[in-house]
Amino acid sequence: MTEQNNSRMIVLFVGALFVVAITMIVVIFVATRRPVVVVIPDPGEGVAAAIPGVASNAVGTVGSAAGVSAPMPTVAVIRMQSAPAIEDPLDSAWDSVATFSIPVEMQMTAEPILDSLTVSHVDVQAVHDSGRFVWRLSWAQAEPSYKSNVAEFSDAVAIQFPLKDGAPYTMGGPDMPVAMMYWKALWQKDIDEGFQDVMQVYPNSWYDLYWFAKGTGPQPVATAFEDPNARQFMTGMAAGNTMSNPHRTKPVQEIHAEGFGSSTPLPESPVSAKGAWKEGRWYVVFERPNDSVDPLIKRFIDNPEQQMLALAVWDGSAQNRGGKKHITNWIPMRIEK
Amino acid sequence: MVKRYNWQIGREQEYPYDAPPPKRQVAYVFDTNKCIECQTCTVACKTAWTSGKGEETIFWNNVETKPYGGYPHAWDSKLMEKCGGCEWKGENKLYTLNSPTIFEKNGEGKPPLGHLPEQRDYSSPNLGEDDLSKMIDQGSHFDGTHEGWLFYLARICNHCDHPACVAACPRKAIYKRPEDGIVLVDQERCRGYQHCIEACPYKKVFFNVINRASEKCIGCFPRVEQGNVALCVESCIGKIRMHGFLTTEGPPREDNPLDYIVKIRKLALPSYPQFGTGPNVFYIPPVHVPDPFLEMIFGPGVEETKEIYRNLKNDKQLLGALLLFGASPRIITRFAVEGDEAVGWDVDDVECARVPFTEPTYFRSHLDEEHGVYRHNTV
Repeated sequence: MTEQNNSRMIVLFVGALFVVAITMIVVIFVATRRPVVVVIPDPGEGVAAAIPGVASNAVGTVGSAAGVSAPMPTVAVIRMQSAPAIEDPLDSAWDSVATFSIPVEMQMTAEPILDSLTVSHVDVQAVHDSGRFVWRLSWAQAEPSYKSNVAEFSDAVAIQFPLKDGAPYTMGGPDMPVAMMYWKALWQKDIDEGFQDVMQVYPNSWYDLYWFAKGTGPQPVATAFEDPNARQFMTGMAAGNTMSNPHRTKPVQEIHAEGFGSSTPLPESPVSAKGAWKEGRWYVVFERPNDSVDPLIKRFIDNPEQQMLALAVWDGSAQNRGGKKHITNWIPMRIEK
Repeated sequence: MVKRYNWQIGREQEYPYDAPPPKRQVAYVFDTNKCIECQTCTVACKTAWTSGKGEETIFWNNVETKPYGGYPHAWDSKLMEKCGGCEWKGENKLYTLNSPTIFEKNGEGKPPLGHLPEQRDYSSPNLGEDDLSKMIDQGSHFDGTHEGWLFYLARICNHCDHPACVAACPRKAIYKRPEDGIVLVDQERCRGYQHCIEACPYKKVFFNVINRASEKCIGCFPRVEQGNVALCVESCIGKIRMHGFLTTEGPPREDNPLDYIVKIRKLALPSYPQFGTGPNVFYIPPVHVPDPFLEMIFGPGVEETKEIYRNLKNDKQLLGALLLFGASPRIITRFAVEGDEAVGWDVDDVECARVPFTEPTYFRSHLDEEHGVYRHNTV
């Protein structure tokens, strides 16, 4: 008799849980008017449940109630006497630095989403010395892509850090800023081989006239368009759009964001980077001076044990750009003394 | 997503943003019957706005031959294939679209349905130019009805009521101006994701390979702000174009030529209204082209427009409005028929055009007595 009661209670309890769960899903559906997608991560690929619409509030911080997190390795920023220089991303000094292999996922929280995974892992290495913090990211990419044309996109990679505790990994949130160091293969090519001009994009093309441009063909955009009259047709450049800079000195931008669609490149940043592609892999090194005036570095100094970083990778050949990217949740990062 | 009323499809539709209509909406009427595809508009636009490096394949204005032409290649048929067929219901000039628009096709909260052209789609601006709808057999002769047909479709940005480019940009780098409804790309914010290019059904947003950002027709806004028509309109030697404003606050006005032609008389129709963006370039359909093809492009109501157009000689008020096409570099916001003249007033209510219904004829004698020479027709 008692046993029967017990099993009845269990049935009732499970039933009640079921009813509560269904009610919650219906409430979320009605409140957001969007389909509820609960992504249950594979073991070992732990990244948060993605609930479009409410995600930026509910998930995004490690250990938050809604975030289902499997153990993520803590990236150790190893103290070295002298951290490798960024001039050579393939420097053999990196061979002895601990590598953390981080699985990446499709960005599915905000439209436009990524709908196919073409990169699986990013290897992270991190070191610092008295003067610099240096990270090296590497991932498999059969062929590099550094195009700038319609329907052609560049490979890219970014490291994101919170600038405030509790900032969501999904590009931060209102009053919850995040900082990103964003490297782009196209910009690396601009630096390594010179600005990727029309003659590089269309080697067999010719033209009659560019108004007010100096000299004779092919009139490189970096040198022949200094006359303001010539610039009047180059609207992005004239408006100071950082995408349109023919005099780029770094292949990297520091970008701050407070939520989806708000990312804004900073005009000045202490970050430097260099990327190189070799035998089916990109190797990208980011460097930031150890300067306590830098708000990000100040956070590192204040709490070296409990830092976080998140990653994003864009596969240009798979038309990744903007929100169509591979991402990770926050990954714990510890700065060794 | 919000529900917004789209008058061109006769119903509410999904759209990501809500906003009141602009104070007035910039709009154009193109008379396809008069276009000879001389591309003067294209050259005027290109010379003025897109002569920079990286803009080699950018044509904010282009004129293509239908049925086979299109720039970028097959911009319209590719989207129609993705959309599936469209279905209109109704009669007596009141039609409702019974199939999903590009904002509804992918489901709620999803980006608009679109397609991203490839490089080679931009490589042949005049592919299909002057190609007839069918092959003419050898030995054929004209016996009153032409065997084939073609017409020229002049295209610019439609400065849509519900722009797909605005809906698609995740950075909100495209905006529709509240003062006149012109749609612009913020050249500082754009990061070249090309979602706008993918979403625009008319493919009137282009990628600049040097600026690495999107660029689109700016509606000649510096000219519009001074009350002048766009350069493509002013330069049109066939006078096929009229540039003006549709009334958005209050009912259409009889004395506004745009309101009168488009909304009151319904002589001009939008292109591909079934996509749901509410385009603001309105075409007077070519009277010699079969209805089914025209209905695919201009939606229902084609037959009625042909009837009105063929009867224009007895329709003095409407003919008066059409006479003002290309009659002034100023934007005509008010017009009237006074006796045997059509009169237009500009944005400052200053008279800027006066066109006689019948051009005066002059006869000159063979001998020019003043100069003592004979006139002749050869040069």
